[in-house]
Amino acid sequence: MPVTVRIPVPLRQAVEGLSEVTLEATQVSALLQALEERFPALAGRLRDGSGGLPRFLRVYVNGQDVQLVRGAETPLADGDVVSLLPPLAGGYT
Amino acid sequence: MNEERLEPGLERYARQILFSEFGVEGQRALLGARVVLVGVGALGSHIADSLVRAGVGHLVLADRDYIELNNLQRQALYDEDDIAQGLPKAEAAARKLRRINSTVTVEPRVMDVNYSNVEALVQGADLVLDGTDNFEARYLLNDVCVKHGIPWVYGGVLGSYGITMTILPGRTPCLRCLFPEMPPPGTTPTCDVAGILGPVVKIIGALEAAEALKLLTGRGRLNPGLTTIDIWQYHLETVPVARVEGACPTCAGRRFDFLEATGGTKTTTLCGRNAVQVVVPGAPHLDLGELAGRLRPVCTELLYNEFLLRCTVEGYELTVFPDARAIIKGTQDEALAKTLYARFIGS
Repeated sequence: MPVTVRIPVPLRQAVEGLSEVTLEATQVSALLQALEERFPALAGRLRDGSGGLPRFLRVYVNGQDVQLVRGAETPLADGDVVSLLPPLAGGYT
Repeated sequence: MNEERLEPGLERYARQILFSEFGVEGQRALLGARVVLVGVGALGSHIADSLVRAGVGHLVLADRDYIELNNLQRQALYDEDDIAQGLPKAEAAARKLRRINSTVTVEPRVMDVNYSNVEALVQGADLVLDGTDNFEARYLLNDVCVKHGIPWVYGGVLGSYGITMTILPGRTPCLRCLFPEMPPPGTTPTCDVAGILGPVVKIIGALEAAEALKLLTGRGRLNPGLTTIDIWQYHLETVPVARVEGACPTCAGRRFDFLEATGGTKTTTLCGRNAVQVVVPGAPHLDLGELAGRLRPVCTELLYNEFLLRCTVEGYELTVFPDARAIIKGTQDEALAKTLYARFIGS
């Protein structure tokens, strides 16, 4: 089931500059694993040591925070849009 | 409403008073407000410009840095003269802002905001705004604002991307509800590699300033979640932020890890600057004139004014402030920076 992942600017360098990636996955955890496998530079930035969601990343499916659904086990359906939101350090002095 | 019908002092704000939901009441609320803005760089200079023009009665500007040529591409308020004079950002910003609006109070504070001084800085503030450039400062602001129940607005920018969230302690999720932990060092792009486009800074700064107008007047609808903008892909989105009841160490657990930090000399690598800041919390104030006399024989270049002293020595540029803080340019090695500090300024 193809799912579109929106890549925010802070993660874009790790995915060859792409702003969107389409992948097949039926669950958030599997999607994040597939992303890490396709783009090794993302390792450690999408999942914690036990494969769960790290505490410095928010994941949204169709605009809904997966923490309000089933976290990493949130199911995905064909055409879903997943947004990744890491914190942003810049303020640029 | 004609300007002539407004009471003296309010004429300059006639156009925003005319906006009926703001009105004279809104203006009075703004004029009576005290706002603390931490960081007067890219985001902060735009925020300060908006707030002083709008008539925030008392604006405190806290910033640790001085102005460099590559700041002018994205930062409001500053110009080449400020660089030639070697002015710190807070002071240069205050001078410009007073020329824009001489009827409000602008209070520059040239300082590194850290655990030892942030509570005194925000005391009595109606609102705190984020113009900082690092995670640690933001978690510190979150700690102090949640602890004292002060609303604050988080904002950040990188490349073509910006993010902002409004935090009302006890009522909306805080920064640690959003991101309970900072990302590990080295996993987030730095300014060096990602760069920055001027317009996204203005947008996030403008959103922060707009939240300030609403928060200070108690009117309008606040940002209900986390807003992200990518001006290059033209993507704008606001998503809700979930708060798991009782899970947040800060707003549920009342644990203020960043505020309760302790320690002696502290070094920080400054993003994209090839520079390290050395801070000695609680150090006595330095007499820059005396230090200049001491350093004159070793400096290949020496400049000092009432705000800072700059000495070029052994290929490094040391900028020293009266609060005993230094920014050492020419290295990202924190240990080396500490050594240079000890050798030339004092241990």
